[in-house]
Amino acid sequence: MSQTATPFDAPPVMVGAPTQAEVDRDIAGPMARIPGTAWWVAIAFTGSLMSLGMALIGYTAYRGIGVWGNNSPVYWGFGIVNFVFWIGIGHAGTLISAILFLFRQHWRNAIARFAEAMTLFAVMTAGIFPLIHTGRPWVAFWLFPYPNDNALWINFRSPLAWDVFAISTYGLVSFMFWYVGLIPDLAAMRERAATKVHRFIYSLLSFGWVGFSRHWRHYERAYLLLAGLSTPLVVSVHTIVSFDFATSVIPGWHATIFPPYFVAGAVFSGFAMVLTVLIVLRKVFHLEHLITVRHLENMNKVVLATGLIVGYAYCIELFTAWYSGEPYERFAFWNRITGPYWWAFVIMFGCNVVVPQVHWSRRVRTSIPLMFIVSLLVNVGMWFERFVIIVTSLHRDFLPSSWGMFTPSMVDIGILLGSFGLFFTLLLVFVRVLPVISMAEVKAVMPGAQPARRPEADGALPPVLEDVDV
Amino acid sequence: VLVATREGRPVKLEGNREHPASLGGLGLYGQAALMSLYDPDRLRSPSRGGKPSTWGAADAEIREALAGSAAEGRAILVITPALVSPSYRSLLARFTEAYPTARHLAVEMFHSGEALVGHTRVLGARALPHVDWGRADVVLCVEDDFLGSAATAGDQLAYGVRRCPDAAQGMNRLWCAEGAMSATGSSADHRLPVRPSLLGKLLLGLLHGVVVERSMGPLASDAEVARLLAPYSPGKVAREAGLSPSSVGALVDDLTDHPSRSAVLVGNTMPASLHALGAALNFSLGNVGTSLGYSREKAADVASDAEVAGAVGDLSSGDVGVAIVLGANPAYVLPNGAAFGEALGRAGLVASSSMVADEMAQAADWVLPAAHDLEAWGDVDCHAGALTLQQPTMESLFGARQYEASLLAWLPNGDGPEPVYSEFLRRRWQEEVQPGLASTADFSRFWAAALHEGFVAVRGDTDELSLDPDGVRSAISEAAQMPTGGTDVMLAPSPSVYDGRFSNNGWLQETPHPITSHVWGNGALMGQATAQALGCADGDGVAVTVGGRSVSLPAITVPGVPEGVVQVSLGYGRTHGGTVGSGVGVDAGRLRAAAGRLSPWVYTGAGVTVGEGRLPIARTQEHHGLHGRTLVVEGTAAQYAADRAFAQAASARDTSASPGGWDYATGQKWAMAIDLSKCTGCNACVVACMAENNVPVVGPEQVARGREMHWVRVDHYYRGSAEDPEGMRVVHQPMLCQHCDNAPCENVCPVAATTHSSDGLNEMTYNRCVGTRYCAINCPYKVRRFNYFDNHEGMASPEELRHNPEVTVRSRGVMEKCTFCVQRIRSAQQAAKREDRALADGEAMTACQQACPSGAIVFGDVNDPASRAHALAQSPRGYHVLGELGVRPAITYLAKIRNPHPDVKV
Repeated sequence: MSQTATPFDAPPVMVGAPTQAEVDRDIAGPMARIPGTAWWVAIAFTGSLMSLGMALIGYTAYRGIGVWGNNSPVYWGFGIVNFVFWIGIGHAGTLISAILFLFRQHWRNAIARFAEAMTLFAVMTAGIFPLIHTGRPWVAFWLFPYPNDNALWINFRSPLAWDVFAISTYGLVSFMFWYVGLIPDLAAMRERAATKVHRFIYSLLSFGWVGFSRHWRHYERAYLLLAGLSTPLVVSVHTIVSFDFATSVIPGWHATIFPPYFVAGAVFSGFAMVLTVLIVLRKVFHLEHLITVRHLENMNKVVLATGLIVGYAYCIELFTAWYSGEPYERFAFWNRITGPYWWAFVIMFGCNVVVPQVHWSRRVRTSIPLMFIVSLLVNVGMWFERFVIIVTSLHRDFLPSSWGMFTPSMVDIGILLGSFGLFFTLLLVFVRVLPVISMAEVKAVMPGAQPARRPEADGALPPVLEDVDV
Repeated sequence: VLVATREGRPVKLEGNREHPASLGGLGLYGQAALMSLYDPDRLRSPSRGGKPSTWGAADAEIREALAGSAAEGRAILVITPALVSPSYRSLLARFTEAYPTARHLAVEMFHSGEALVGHTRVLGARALPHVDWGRADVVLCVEDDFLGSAATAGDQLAYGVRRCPDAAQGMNRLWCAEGAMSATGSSADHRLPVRPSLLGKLLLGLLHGVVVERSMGPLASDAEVARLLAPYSPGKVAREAGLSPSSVGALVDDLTDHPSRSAVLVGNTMPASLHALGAALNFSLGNVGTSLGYSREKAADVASDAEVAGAVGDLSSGDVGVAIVLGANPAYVLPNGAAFGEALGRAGLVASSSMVADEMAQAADWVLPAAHDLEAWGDVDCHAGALTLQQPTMESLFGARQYEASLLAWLPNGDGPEPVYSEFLRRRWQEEVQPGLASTADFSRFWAAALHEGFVAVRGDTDELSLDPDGVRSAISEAAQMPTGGTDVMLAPSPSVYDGRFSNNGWLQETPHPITSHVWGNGALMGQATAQALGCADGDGVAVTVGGRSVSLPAITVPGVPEGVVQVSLGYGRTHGGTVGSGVGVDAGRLRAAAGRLSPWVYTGAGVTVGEGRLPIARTQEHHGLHGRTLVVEGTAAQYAADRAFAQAASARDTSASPGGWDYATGQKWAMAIDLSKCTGCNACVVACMAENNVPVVGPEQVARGREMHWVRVDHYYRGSAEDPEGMRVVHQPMLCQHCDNAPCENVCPVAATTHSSDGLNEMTYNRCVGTRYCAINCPYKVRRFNYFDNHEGMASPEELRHNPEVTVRSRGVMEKCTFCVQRIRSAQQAAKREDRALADGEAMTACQQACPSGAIVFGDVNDPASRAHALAQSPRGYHVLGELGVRPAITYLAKIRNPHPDVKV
């Protein structure tokens, strides 16, 4: 960064000019210390929630789905609402780590690791729900096509079968992408390990990385390829999840706008969740100089943009329902706004469309408390979006004779809380055992880390020795 | 009835097609009998003071007590329900002969006592009317739910024949004057909502119109009758009753335009004077002997209030040595049942025989297990020209003994062999029945034939009776003076559990009310106007007070009910009704007081107040509006005559080529047609399906959460405005799996657990189902049912015996739905194959079709051009519900055609 700054240059991605050792110390240092009281309190709380959720899942498996609020006609309730919500949360991670990587947005280096971990934990949390929501979870593996004595195959026409492939692929690729990115840092952790046990574990996990050029070369290629592989998944996973709804006959679900609408919503909610957690994390771990206000502001811009797409989708759905003249569609949306679940629609629209508009103001976009509140509200709003889509569409469909209402049971609420417990417990363990910021990647965007900028290449990548023979 | 048995156990009941009172139909009580037969609450052995004992000990003590009482001149009370069995009556006569101090009391909650009194007054004979439905072009029913709680399958079927607009004799026209909305009222062409205390005036107006204005019938020349009727012109009574004068005028015209071709029916709960006026109308219109006949009632009178009071007096003074209660349960059935039960406790010895330990059993010394009808011998004389013979289908469970056998055992028989009731029955048939029929056949052949057929035809038992003008005059005066005011309270039999005798039957408890869809309980049914005046919504507790006695019930608004009328079902609130039946609903029987009483079931001047908090009501259907959707296509006979295909214009239908390339060109293609003109919403199909397909009962809490399991349900939609009760209509629509050719449920199942068969069935493979419930979500008809719990958990012996062995019992976590009774299709196909012939139309019948007492459901192979299903699928009245979705349902609904009088605007 030797040239004079121009107005077109991106602002710096970190505050000050820490040395590489300081970066290592700031990121890896906290892991070597015994966790403080705050961590123990936090994990006790999230662990309790998680245990509650697991116990209630066990109870559900023992007694049946009847302990939930699901009924006829609302055959899907919190189970699928939570599933779609958590899958959506995951999208921000992949978008940050893969798409922004391909677009050479080097500000993403500081938050990619964490966002990617969130993706993984969100997918893990989400993956529980399709399993436990089945009537007979012990035979849920039948959803996978596998050779069996009965020569039974799955139904490839079912969007749920597509879901199985989409989610498992997504989970697998996300994990590989995340893990490959971790390898250099795991090696660094191995070198810093204080005890033999730590050293042994990190040695195993780092696959013998010693930082040879060849290692770097393979690493870069693999990372790039996985980024390329992950990118379509960002779009495909939620597209396919949206097919669960869009390919059905139910008024309020049967809409072609669902795939882009769902993807935008997923990115929207994912960024909100990343923001919520990062704001706390950077404060607690004193990483304000690495995860700067600029990072947060950029994410707020994404929230605003995707929030506008979501708002557009809400409005166009209403317009299409009216314009179609189809009585069932018209009723479904009129009922969404004025029916017994009008309050859920108000929460959804308010939190997802109205609230993010404050981000047009730079002052709000850069104010930590305000953006924290906005991110929380967006999370609430996006959970309610799924509630609105699923519950209010199902509760009054074609025949008025079968209309009903959905009321969640205490078990439903307990499992929802348990899913947050699981997600945050995984995050809390993660911040203790793995570097929350990619040390290697941050070092690559440190001032002076890159060769002098050439006109034909951006310096976001760590040095790659293109001409080394393998 | 016909009973199908497997391994010696009855598994399904069906109507006897040859029997004139059934014609193959069987109502919901008959369908549900299996549930009571295998009731785990059935008494396991005789018990004395709560301690298990033996029949030997019971018989010895009871016989000794009987002999002692007879010797000491102390009274013996035999309490039974109304006896419809001639052999039972003959046995009882023998019993009272043997023990001269014995007295018989028949107790019933609902009976034809008022009707008998009324008819005796004008006909001089204890007679009741019966209709020749083929000849009755115009039917007026006054609070007579002959298509609902008072239905017999034979009546319903014969009536239903003429509900088809293409019927050879033309459509009949049903007028219904009633307070609350009944199943019959909902099926009527014209419904006149009148509070019951004004129904008498309405009949006076009609009599005025017929006798005075048109000078019809024997009363036309009676000046006194004319004088008494003078103040009641049809227009005046119409205004007084809140009806439009043009409707009442049209009714008079309709009746008088069809002399000898109409019928006036008055419901059993109505006061005697109304029955007398009904008979006067029938005679005046010349119906008697053509479209309607009267026959003498053979069963003994039900005990009057005075007789019951006398019995209580005797009991209290200790004059009763032995009281025998045979399946009657007076401690619940009588208005002051608890007091009666208490008084009964003062008898020297009380023996009560019942199937479960009911209220009466609590007051008895000996509690004796009674056999179910399916375990018993017997005969029944009904008025349809048949004497029914009943034989047991299995040996009694738990050594239970039928009532007649107990009575027989307690006769003093010296040292002779233990008498057997089947022998008694056979001997009576040999000595009395066969000679009466002038049959010359060898008796053993006669007996075998009767057993085989289930009945013997007897002479048409219409009696020649004439109208007594004096009786008519007194009835006119009485009806004219009938008080009216405050709120009219009508106590009606429950459409589900009748008078409480079926309380412990889960199938019936979970059978929805035919108008309100309420299950597992009763409520205060009132019109919107009454509810608005009170300021209460559905589920708000209201106190209904009659003569100082009060009960709290949840309010339920019903369409088409005039202001000031509250209807309450009896048969609930049992204290000892068994595990299932105890504590369900509220016992409104205690409202049967003296104040404001028009009949034992109708009271005027009653009070209704709000402020009882919220009371839970579980309903299988919560929304009864159509929201402008074309789900039910309705029209009038005139409209149909003008444009036979009007129904098809009203609804879209996908006629494109079959999706998926399967054209059903060969083999069978199963389909169904449901005629909405015939459906009365009686729920017989619902219960028949539960029995046939092992459909579980889930209980009120689960129903309230929308988890009922019925494979076929009857949807009820209200049409009209709340401000106009007269224009309010209810339509019933049976809804079951439509077996769509392009089924939206099939493509969404990830494991292919629901698939299409080559003969057009939408099949459900329970073993493969994982329970994602996606199929149910994508079903536009919401006919799929999910087992949220293990609905067969904790089943007590011998309940498992009632299961149909041909049908899988579904476990928890799997989806289920109507299969078009695939097990019946396959067994019919196998039978045809064994005999190397083609399957004939009507051989494969679904359980709902078989049970339907209106003949509204027709099932068959549409690939067979000779089948009825094929013909109906092509009917111009046919339409598909939600046909515009392109799912190509296999069920064709035939538009509901009403036949309103041309002078009345509908």
